[in-house]
Amino acid sequence: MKTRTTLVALSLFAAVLASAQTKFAQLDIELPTPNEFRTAAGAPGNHYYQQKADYKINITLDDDKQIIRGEEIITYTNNSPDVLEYLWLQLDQNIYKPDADNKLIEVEKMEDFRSIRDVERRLMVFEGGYTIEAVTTPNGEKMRYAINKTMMRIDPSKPLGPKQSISFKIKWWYPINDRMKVGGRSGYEYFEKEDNYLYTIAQFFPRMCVYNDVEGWQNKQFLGRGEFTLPFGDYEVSITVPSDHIVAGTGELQNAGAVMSAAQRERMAKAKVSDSPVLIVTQAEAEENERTKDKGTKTWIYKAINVRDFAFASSRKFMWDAQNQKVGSKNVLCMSFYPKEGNPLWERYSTKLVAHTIKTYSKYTIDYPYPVAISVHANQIGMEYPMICFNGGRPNEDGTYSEGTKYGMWGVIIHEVGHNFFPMIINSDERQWSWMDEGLNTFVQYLTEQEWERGYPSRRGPAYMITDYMRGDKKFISPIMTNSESIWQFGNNAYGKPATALNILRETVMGRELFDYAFKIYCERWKFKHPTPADFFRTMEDASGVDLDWFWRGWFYSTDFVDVSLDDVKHFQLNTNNPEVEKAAQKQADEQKQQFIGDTRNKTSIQQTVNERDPNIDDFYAKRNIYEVDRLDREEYEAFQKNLTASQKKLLESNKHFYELSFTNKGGLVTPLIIQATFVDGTTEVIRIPAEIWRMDQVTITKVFIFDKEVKSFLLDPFLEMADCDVDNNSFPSQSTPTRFQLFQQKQSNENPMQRQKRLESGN
Amino acid sequence: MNWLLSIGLTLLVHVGASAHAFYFSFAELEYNASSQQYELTISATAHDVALMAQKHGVDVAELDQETKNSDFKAFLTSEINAHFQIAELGTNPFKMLGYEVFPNGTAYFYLYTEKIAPVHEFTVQFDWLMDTFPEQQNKLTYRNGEQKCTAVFLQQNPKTHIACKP
Repeated sequence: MKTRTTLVALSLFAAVLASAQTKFAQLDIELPTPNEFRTAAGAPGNHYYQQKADYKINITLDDDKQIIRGEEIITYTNNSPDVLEYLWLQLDQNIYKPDADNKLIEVEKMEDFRSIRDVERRLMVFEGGYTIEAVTTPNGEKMRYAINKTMMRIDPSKPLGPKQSISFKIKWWYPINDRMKVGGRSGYEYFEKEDNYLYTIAQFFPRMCVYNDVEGWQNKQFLGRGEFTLPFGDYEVSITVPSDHIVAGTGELQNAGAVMSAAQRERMAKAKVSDSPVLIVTQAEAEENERTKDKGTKTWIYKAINVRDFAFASSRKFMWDAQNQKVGSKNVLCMSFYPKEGNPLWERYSTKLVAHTIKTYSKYTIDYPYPVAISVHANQIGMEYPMICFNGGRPNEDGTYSEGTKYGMWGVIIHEVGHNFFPMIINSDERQWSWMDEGLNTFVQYLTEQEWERGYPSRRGPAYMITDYMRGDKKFISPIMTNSESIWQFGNNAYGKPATALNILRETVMGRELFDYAFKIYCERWKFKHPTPADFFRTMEDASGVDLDWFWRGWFYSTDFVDVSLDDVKHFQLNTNNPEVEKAAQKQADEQKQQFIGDTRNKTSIQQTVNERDPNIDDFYAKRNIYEVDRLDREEYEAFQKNLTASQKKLLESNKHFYELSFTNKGGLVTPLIIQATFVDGTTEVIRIPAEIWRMDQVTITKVFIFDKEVKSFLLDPFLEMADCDVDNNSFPSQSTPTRFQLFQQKQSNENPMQRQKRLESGN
Repeated sequence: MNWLLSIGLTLLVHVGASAHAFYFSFAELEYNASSQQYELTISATAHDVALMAQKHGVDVAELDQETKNSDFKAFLTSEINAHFQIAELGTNPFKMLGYEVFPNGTAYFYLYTEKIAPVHEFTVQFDWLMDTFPEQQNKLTYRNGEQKCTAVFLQQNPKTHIACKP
């Protein structure tokens, strides 16, 4: 029996130990082996390479039929050390083919078809997708190609060797999707009142896939959620549209003289030196423009250097404003394009938000390198492309708007403009890892929002805002390190949780200085390159000198959450060994002990005990006074005092208070502990303990704190920075937080602020 | 891609659906021993709730402009009772105290029952918003004294048994 008990105890101890070691184990197996392409420090290696794809594209927007026709010449340069037998391109528009995989893989059940509208929606078919008319050499010789759903393989006549380039031509067209009916990141919105269209066009041309040292050719189909992974290149794009359209596109407009009026060019010249928005097309001009339709066409020509994609917007409804924003020594032209339906919000805020975003992101990441940054109004969405993004935020028809609409518009513009940095420049693989752009971007979005307005009601970022999602049942939560297509709760997982994790790193684990330096190093190292998660994890550790493997393991590879309970507090004081003090204290303590009810009742119910009646019963033990200080006590104390050094005597007289605090890690995620002690005199002290306190035991720990003053209460996570999912077990003495219902009920019963003001003014 | 994404009634047509980034609702339920009522708070993105209402033919653009609209509150109460069900509490047990929308876009709905005896073990179905958003995930934390139990709900798994002894 004894042996068995020992064995059980030993195996439990081993299990706890193994688990603790797992939580603090280095990320050896999880991360790829460093090599000549990517170093152990998280930087590009000395043989790092990336491919280049340059595009010359001519497109025509058919405003009568809502069709785009295009012809492009791609020049692809193989900078890898490998020989490429074939080339892969993305055909993202094929997601609109009626038989596309993204529809087939939707899990459905009959409960989904409860109403005729459900059935109608299910049966609605949009015959979208590319028609590829030709794939040829620049001289017009046909090339072999094969289409695999949303991807296309082109077979060069001979393999493409290292440092070699190949050019080829593709001719295509596709019907544009009605974004308000079919959905999607791009498409058109139809304005029935004036029979007009607003086009926001993206993923519109066959684009090269990424080939790199990590995956070879990107081979994941476009299923709708995992966005894009694209090589950098230079673009020359000519866009032919109705002559009364205003166009916004990635890059710099090359032929302003041909497409803009003299007045518009003059206003633009003013905007380029203005630090507040200048209207290039006014609302009155836009409203006049949208009343009629020109029959002719104009061609807007754009050039963009070192971008990973190209997008544009076109409409006769557009207003247009612009202002300059200095970033370092460069001038950036910030612009917005919006219909009258976006006002009054858009004219007042959009371009200012663009300027603020590139300025603030430049501070935390890298200097914005492009010449323009554009925000285009697109009802109800937010979507990002290099230098240009499509953003929602539409007031009511009467021109009023709610606070939610305003903050929604502000947030979406900051977020989408912020995507210029992640992933347009720090070009991670969105198809594999949504968090690398969405999470990092949401984090810097939070920083940018807070610099726009003090106390800005950010939706994501602060630690306490993620707790509802992370708490309790871990079923149906995915680790952040999950492929984009397989994530439960995409928004919380890919945007909210990584943004929170980075906030916790910055505010609690590393501190702002170390974090900001390392984060900027990551951005500088990987600008205009293709980073992976390992590159991010390694750089943050390497540049800060902080081992964060436990943090990545807990926050990015697991579904654990933070819930630490403060279970117990024990108060001690040093034993002075002075019998006068200690025996008096003992007497007081004994008198204050709780009494057993039987003892209390016996005092009256038993009139006399035997020893009270018979004086011969009580002996030495019964008669002695244990609280009396005798000669021997005093002599022993004197001897004890003689053996003490001066400093030991001082310590003994210091009257220090010792508190042993016991903690349990209920959520599983190891975390630093932030503890606030409030003393009886009302003052406070905060102690910060690194997460490594859990390194030997992940479940329970104790810690002793020594103060000069007596503590009245302890509070764990006083500044809501740990993402603790249950704050009701964070206090000693125990204190429970009111439910949200109770808080609302209290608010309900109170007078409103105006009633209060009236009472104040009336003197009541 | 951002969260301000709601593609009208056609949201469910695959491509648009993938663009949305929320689909999360959180409920907090507690028995108030002094009033002998259950008190329930449900939070969700105001945009998601507005879309759900539109899908049911209730024309509401902005939730925060409807907090005094008794018809809309009646609709919400009926929706919540239909999609937050505890068999042990009977049908339609929740009445709405009110709701509020915070500037960050989160809406909180506050509900309560009539006086009722507490049940510490029950089966709850919480499929609110799931017929509008297939990816919707809901969570419930039931507070019973100092004890808290949290359960998660999905379209594939809309019902769960909670035994949360104090």
